[in-house]
Amino acid sequence: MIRVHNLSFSVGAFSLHNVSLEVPSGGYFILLGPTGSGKTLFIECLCGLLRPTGGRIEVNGRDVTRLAPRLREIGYVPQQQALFPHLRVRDNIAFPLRARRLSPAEIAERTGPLIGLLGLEALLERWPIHLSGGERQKVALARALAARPKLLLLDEPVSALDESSRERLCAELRRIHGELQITTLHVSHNFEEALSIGDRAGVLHDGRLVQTGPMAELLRHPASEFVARFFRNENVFEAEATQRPDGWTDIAFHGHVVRAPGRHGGAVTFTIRPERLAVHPPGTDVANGVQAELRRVVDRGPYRQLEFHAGVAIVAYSTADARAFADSPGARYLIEFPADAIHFVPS
Amino acid sequence: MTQATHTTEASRGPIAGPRLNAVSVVTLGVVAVYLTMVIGLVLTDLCYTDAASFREVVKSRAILAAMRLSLFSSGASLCLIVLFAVPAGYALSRYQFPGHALVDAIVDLPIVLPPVVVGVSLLVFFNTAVGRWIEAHSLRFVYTVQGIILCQFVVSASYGIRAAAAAFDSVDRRLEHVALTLGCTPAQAFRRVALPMARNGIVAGAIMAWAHAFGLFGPLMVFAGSVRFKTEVMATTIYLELSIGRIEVALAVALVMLAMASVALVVIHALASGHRWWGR
Amino acid sequence: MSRVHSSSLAVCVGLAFFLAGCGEEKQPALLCYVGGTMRPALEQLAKAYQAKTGQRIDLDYADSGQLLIKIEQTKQGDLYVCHDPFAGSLEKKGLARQIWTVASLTPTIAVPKGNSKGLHGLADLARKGIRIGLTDETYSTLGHICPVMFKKAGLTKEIEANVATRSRMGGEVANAVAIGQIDAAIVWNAVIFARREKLDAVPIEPAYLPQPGVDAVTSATYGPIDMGTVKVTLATLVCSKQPAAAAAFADFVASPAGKAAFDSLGFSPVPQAREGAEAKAPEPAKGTLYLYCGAGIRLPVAEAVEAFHAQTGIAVECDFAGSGILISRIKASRRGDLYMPGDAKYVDLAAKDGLIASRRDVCFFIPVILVRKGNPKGIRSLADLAKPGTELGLGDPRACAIGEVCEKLFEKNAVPLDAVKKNTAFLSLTVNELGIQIKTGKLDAAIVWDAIAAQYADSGEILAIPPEQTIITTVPIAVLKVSTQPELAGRFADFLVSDAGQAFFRKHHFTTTAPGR
Repeated sequence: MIRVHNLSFSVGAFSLHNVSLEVPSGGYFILLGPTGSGKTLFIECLCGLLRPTGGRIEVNGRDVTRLAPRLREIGYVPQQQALFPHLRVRDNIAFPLRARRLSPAEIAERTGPLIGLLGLEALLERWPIHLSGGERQKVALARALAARPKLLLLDEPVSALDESSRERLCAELRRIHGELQITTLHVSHNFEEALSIGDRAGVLHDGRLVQTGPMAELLRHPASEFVARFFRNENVFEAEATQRPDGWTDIAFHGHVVRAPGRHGGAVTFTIRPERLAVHPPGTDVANGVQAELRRVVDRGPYRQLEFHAGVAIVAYSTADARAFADSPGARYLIEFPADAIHFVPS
Repeated sequence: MTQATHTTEASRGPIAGPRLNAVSVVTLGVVAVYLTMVIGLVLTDLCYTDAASFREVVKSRAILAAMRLSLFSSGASLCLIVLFAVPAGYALSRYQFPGHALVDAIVDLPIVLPPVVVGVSLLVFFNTAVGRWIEAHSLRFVYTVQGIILCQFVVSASYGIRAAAAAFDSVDRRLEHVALTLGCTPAQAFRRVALPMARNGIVAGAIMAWAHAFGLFGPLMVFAGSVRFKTEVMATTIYLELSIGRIEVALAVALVMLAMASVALVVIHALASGHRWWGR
Repeated sequence: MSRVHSSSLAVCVGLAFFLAGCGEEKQPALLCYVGGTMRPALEQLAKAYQAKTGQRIDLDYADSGQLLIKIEQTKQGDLYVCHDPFAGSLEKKGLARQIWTVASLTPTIAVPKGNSKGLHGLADLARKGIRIGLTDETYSTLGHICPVMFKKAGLTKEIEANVATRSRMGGEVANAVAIGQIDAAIVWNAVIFARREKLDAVPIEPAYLPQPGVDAVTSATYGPIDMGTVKVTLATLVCSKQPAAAAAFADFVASPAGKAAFDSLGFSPVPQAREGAEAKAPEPAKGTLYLYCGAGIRLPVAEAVEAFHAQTGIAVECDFAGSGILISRIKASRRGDLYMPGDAKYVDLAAKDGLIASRRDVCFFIPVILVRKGNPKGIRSLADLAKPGTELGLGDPRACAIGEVCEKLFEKNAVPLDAVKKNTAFLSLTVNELGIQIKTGKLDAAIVWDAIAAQYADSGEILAIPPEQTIITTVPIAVLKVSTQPELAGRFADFLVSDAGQAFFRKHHFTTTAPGR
């Protein structure tokens, strides 16, 4: 397991501020964040390639903050893999074991199962530049795992791959993780990967960890507008909340009023996921209905993105056929805001 | 992919378009012109000299001694240069420190100085208190074979260091970082990753340095002397033969030097790049 | 790099130094520095000497100037073979122990074998279209001599027009002639001889060759160069750790066998008046005296010597140089019979060092002012020499008699010394040179001896110094204590003082009676 406590780092324009997180043994944590948020810095601090200005790092209970990289028992797969071009695949994988001066027999013994697990038998004699992106990733993975590290760090492992390769590699990562049960920290700027693999995630913004938790929670209950928008939720509304005597709250925004459970008062910000909004013809009897005018329909393949305007922009997703909304721009609809989907963003 | 610079068979051709175009013709033409010049000069020398001179060169004990000394001293200088150039080049490439630009300039200094100046400077140095102390407590350098090696080293090491620094520059630092996380100490990362990848550049620099040392003579006349059988190298022989007007003999010696150098370069190449990576 | 490579690398380096170190001295060879032209001769002689005595000689060749630097800096070495003027430099720097003259060099014209252009002398070099190579005028001895020769031939302009290239060393232009790049070059005869398969030697007309003693020049780099005789000298070095062995080899080189070797390799024989080592004892053969003589009185002394020889059969070898330099030679060699400096004061000095056995006064030197023809600066007296803008030539007080007298003259007459210093454009080592400088129009005025001035009477104007201002120097002749033939030496001194001897001095405008007497 890994525990990071108040990690800080600063050099020039790049910095991390008091980042703390914890990944249980065998857990798979995804660290999300846009480019420049400090994800690679964080990983390099964990590896020991950068010296943090403050904080503590513990791997399996051992304080490794001051240790040299090779003593931390960490396996690192960098962005773009950094395979050694002057060694064949076979020797790349064996590299960490040769560095530890294991005998050829021991090396064969240790790397054999790993090669089998990753399906790299056919690639052993090849040179790294002759491999495809996905093959390179797997070789880098095998190399990082060869010395049986306690922690596996993956820096954007699938970002450079095409859609289908990405899916396949994500599936592989899940499988390998399942087999080896090794604590893994996976860094990415793309939250869809996170959805398919990880259990817990965190969002890094300008060097600060703004929210951690299970994926579902980050999605449905973002802790800040930034997190909401990162997960592609454009429905962030400023509103005025008034508490009702029956334990619910009236939320007034842009001339509309919706109701949500809970006690809130004063100026609030709330979000609601586009896929949770239900679109009805005007006049339908629903609670929390908001009259809106359809401005645009964007076909996103598996779903349609509907852009409404009701004094403020509202985005809804619908799986209905596009033809259902083909009538006319400017058509009026009633958008239902399900009360349980309303999430207040803490200030 | 920025792992390392690599070329495949396909990328050796011109960038785009047909094989024979303005750019390829002109650039290859330039190569041809230069080759013609060099071969032309060698042929001129070959024609001016005669068989008698060659025979004299081959039979003369003094000239054979000079040949041995040339090979030995330049070989020893080469070893010294490589021993210096690899770590120095690594430091210059990898470490940032205040005054880096100044250090770079100083490393390049011996190339800019006329070689004779280096010889005179060494001569004067060993006449100072420090110099005399060094000679008294270690080896004697003035007028000795060690002096030849020292001269050759001082004048040629610069080439080796520059080439090594450039070679290490071309090695992505991230590879060494990854090596550290994979269980290497900084020394191991150097030996297993940086050095093998920089090897080609280092070898090229070593070859240039060796060639420079092999042909050097100006500072040697001043600092090491030109005593037959003791401190006379082939380059000195050529000069001395010219000084008494024996042009044919001088050219014969020069051509023998050329032949020796060609063989030596081939040997160095073979020794150093036995290992071809990325399947080239 | 694999482990095998790195360890083999280490082994090589270790081996290198070990082997190199092993090459240290097993048997002490003599280290002889040889200037390029003399190399073939020295190689031959060193081989012969080693065959004869088993003593190994290591020959280190380089450019004569570079060799000087090496000797100065490393203080290693036993012998130094060079040609003028490097021996002089060596002496000046106090690096020479003893000097032998072993041969001389004559400037000669080198032409391709067959002399297809039919060049038979300097005059032919002036022909239009001939391409000549010369040595650098500032940095080589020959380079100083050629302009003098051209001037004598009156062909300076024409020959200079034909100069296609100049090089630092004679060998290079000689090679150029051999290859066919140029038609002719002026180099040493020995340089041509080394290339005799490709070159022919064409002698320069004797009238144009520089005269010994008369044609001397002081160069900034080298000091005085007597261009009439370019000697090839062998010097043993002060820094030598085996002086006896070195001197033995030097003797061998200067012996008739050695001279024969030089002869056979195209050198000219040792110049007449300087045969044998300057600092070496004259042949024990009866009847040869050795006289150290100030350069200023060369002419009358040379004639007196001839007459003395005709009369008595006793030969007198003369060494002409600045009076001061002669004392150091006497001290260094501890050989010789007579000393005749330009000023009695030097004999006094030598007497203090216990070198003088006896002395006689021979003649007197009276300083006069020699001014440029036409006297454009209107100089009338000693005081005028301090006027700003006057280009003044004086003798170097450290090297010759006239120099010291000048200082005293200025002091005696209250002429401001710093003004004089400012005007001093040229400080000469011998008084003769001052005359030449006036003659060639390089100076406005110079203070020289009356006798010297008389020689240049038609190239300048002589201003007498009034008796109350002047200082008169006596020129003595002294018999040296180290002389092995004091009686014979005394006889020559007597001859000089006699009427017959004095006549020679009067002939050359020397004052033989003390003025006022």
